[in-house]
Amino acid sequence: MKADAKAKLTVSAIQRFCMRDGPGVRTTVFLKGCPLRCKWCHNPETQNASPELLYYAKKCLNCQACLACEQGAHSFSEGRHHIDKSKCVSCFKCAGICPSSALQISGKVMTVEEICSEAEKDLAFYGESGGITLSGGEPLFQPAAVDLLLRCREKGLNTVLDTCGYFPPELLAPAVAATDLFLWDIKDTDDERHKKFTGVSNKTILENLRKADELGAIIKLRFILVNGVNSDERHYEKCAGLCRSIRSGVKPEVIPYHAFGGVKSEFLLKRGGGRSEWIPTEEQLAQFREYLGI
Amino acid sequence: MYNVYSPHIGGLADTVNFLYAVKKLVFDDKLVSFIELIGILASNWEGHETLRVLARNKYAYYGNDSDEVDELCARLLNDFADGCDALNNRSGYIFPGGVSTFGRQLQWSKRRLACAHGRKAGEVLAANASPTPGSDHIGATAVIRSYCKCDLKRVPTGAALDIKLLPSLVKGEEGLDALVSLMRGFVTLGGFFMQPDVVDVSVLREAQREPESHQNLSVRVSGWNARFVTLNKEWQDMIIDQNESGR
Repeated sequence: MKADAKAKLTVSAIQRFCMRDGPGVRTTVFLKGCPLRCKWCHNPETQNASPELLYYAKKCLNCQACLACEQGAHSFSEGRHHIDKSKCVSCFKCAGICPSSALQISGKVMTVEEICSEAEKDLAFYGESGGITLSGGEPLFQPAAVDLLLRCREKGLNTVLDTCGYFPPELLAPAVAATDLFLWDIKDTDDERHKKFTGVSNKTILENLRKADELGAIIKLRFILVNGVNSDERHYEKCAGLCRSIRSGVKPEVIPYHAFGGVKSEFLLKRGGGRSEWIPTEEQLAQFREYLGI
Repeated sequence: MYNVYSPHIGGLADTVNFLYAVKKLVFDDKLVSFIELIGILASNWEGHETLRVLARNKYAYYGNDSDEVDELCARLLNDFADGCDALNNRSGYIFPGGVSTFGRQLQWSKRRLACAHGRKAGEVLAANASPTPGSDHIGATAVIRSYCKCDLKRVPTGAALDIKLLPSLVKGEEGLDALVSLMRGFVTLGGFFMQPDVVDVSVLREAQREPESHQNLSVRVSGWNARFVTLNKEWQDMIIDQNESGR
């Protein structure tokens, strides 16, 4: 299969010099769109597939340049800036005008080739292990992500796919063929809770995981630990079972919930979703890790 | 026998960024005329806060791996080196150039005027060949790439690049890998003088409050190490500022 270098992807952000998204120095591409709606999402600006407006209140100068908006989405009263998102038609003229970058866009349409060139800028720093990581959102929410993986492969870049595991099964084989390492996030082994907290069943995710393993994918499982949601031993036990079932045997990882996603919700003009009671304790983390043998 | 006299320049990033801001504000985006801009700068941006914030925020300055501005930097450094070469063999001297501030950016700040890249009079200039404080937003690899676009062979007596790194980044085995990768990339791209600095700003603040318990805390000032507690308040504040704006 050959990559379509002109295929387009909506990108939320590209971060260089990342050290936690796979081996070595990496450039991480955050793609827009996700089929899940995890209540603890730490990248809520990537959930919607289409570009959207972000507002950083602390940067706002109250200069009122954004009143140029033809839809009347921006208004000022008593020295405060109000944004009526229902009036926004996503033209993003305001973000272009805003002098302080208080208004920004999450979501830029780029071709596979453009993204690749961005990742190639840090070639000198990748060494033998580094490369590109696709994250999001769910990268495979946009099928052209497979073209991006393939194109990076063609250029000799190491490829990592950070996935929630929920994607159409037909994308699995081409994705496995173009990916050096999967970072496979597991939210919950209990399907009822999974539905309640992420909006979807975990069946597709676990089925895709099994098939990916059969196809010979190298998989690192990453377990999200949320205090009071999935912090029980029955879940830990099932996670340990999942680890044993994966043939590639890469050391799994536990990712503790953090409240940063709540801060980001504010930028999206949504109610803050950060919940400090969800942050797991050191004891819970240690216990989970013990079950996983790490 | 030969004699060496090495001219060094400072404020490199600020000069480059100033020129680039004029190009963008006046010529490309036509937000203000050249004469108006000079008047605004003469009055230290008084009454033009919106334009100042725009100039400071909207453009990618030196240190963000943007060719448009980095080419200006490479050109300026070449012109300076040409000037140095032209002096060679005068009275038996050679004049190899370099870039350095070695802390003098603090002394200079008192006489420093407002700049087109959104800086007010009195703000501290860039250290050595590093970006203007707070103007690099992409990270260490982008800073290194910007710097290495210059022909550094032409400044043989040194052009130090200070890189601020967060302690979390260099923690553990992965952190060691990160540092090695940075240095390897730096050398591959033609760099030869880098000073990585790993400081947790909260520790520096603590040392300022309780010097007695931080007698051995050593910081890289610029070309040399100093015990933090032996520096005066001004110096300490400058180092804290630089580390806060670094990544």
